Amino acid sequence: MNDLLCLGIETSCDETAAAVLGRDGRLLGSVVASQIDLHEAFGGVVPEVAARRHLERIGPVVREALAQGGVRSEDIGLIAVTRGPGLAGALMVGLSWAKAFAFARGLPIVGVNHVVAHAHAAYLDTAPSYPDLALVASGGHTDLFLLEGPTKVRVLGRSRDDAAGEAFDKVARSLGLGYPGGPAIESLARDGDAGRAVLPRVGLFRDSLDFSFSGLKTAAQGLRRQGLAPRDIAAAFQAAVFDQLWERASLALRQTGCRRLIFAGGVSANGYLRERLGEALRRQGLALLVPPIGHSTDNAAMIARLGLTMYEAGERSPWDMGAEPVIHPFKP
Amino acid sequence: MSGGWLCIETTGDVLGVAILAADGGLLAEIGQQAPRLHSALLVPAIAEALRLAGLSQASIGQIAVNRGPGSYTGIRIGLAAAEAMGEALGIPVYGVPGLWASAASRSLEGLYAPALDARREDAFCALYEVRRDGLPAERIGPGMRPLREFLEACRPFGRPVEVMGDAAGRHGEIVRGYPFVRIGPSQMGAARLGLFAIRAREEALDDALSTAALYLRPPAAATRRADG
Repeated sequence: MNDLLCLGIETSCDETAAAVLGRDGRLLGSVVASQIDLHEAFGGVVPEVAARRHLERIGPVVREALAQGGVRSEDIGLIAVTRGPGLAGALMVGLSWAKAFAFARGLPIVGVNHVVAHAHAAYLDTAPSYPDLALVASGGHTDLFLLEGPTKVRVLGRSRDDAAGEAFDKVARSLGLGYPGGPAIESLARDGDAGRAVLPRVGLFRDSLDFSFSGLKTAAQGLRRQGLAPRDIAAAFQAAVFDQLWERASLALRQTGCRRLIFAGGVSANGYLRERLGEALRRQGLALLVPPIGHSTDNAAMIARLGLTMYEAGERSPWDMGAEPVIHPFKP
Repeated sequence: MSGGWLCIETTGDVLGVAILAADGGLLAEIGQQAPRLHSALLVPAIAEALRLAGLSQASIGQIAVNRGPGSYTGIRIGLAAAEAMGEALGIPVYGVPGLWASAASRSLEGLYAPALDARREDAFCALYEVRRDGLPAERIGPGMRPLREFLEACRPFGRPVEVMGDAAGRHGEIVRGYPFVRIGPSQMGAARLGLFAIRAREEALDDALSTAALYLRPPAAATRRADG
């Protein structure tokens, strides 16, 4: 039982992913098959296209993850799989695959929440410890929540409109940059001057910890029409995103008394945001905890990490577990 | 090949699971009206079918699964589950072309037209001729087309055509305009998938038994049909 390995499966959006995690938390294999090339032409993820590709890739991706870790499929003792939130048709591929594999082998299975799993990517290098404050920002989510345990989550704030990553993508598109927009904006902003452009600081929800990126996005797109240089717009936009993330996060840290902030999700791959958040936290004697390189965006290692933690806490999912495309208010 | 057949049908509203002996003898069959619940209920249905047959997972020797056409999500649920079980148990998986297998489930010689509702007035359909020997021969290949256009294409054969599947029931007003049409069964059990795979292997038609999904429609144009 001590050498039981956990196989994680993730198919919630446009990445087909599998990972193998040791009981000791060591990551043995992790494979992510991206579909970015497939969806680029459409300017976003097409659900039916994504689901079809997941079915084609899931078997090979699992075999590759096992091979990477030098693991035989007989060594798998636990299956963890994303059950939501995400695209229904995409989720069902991973869920059907995972349940059938577990059933055929007589293995336990644990269905996990994708957003909570993003926060657990930060526990790939360090053992989970609760409570922790987590800020998960990606193309689909901007959620601030208190992790009280692997299955106990208290949502403190979320975006009322666009997700942070979605705003990055849309601003990037208006600046003529490619998809996904995050890396493109970050690299362009390095030569930009944030002081040349004025962007709104959203204070609409000052009494709450919710986010709003829609107005900021529209204002940034407007600057382009005023003839400002794209690099200055990119720099100003990033700075404004940081201000909003930090304003909410620092308030939540004070409210919860947490001593560190987990920053995860695709947006947390942004080096500028990581650096600024780290600096701001250090000044208050607090710490920043981020996923290891390559595990900010969707991956299955985080699914295995959360699934294993839930399993050790006694969680088991039934065979009739279905996909949960919309988990609201979200539960683990 | 030793061991029993697990047959999986998830492409329509009815979730079907059958267990066959190695020679095709029916051991257990389940049909459950479960639109949009296939992903939740497939594994419990497999467990129940195995229990009825008095078998364990390890006694499954091969898997037959409907690879389409039908609900896109349903096709994927069945294929993903079949491939995962094949991987877990180290056994072969045979993806069966659903329309062909429907025609092959009829024994009386004649023309058979499996036609599945594809929303609006379209159908996933094909025309086959059931003969004395061998699997049915294709007369009009599988495709997604307007039901009226398909029935017009059947007319020149000058013989009765039995329309099978749910399209006839959903579009009675269209079908009634074609006097050569007889209405056949609207649902086929999962067992026919295993029986088809056994015959296809006997006739060395292994090409028919791929695990590639048969959507019959490119994804960009796809509008979702009833979900599994």
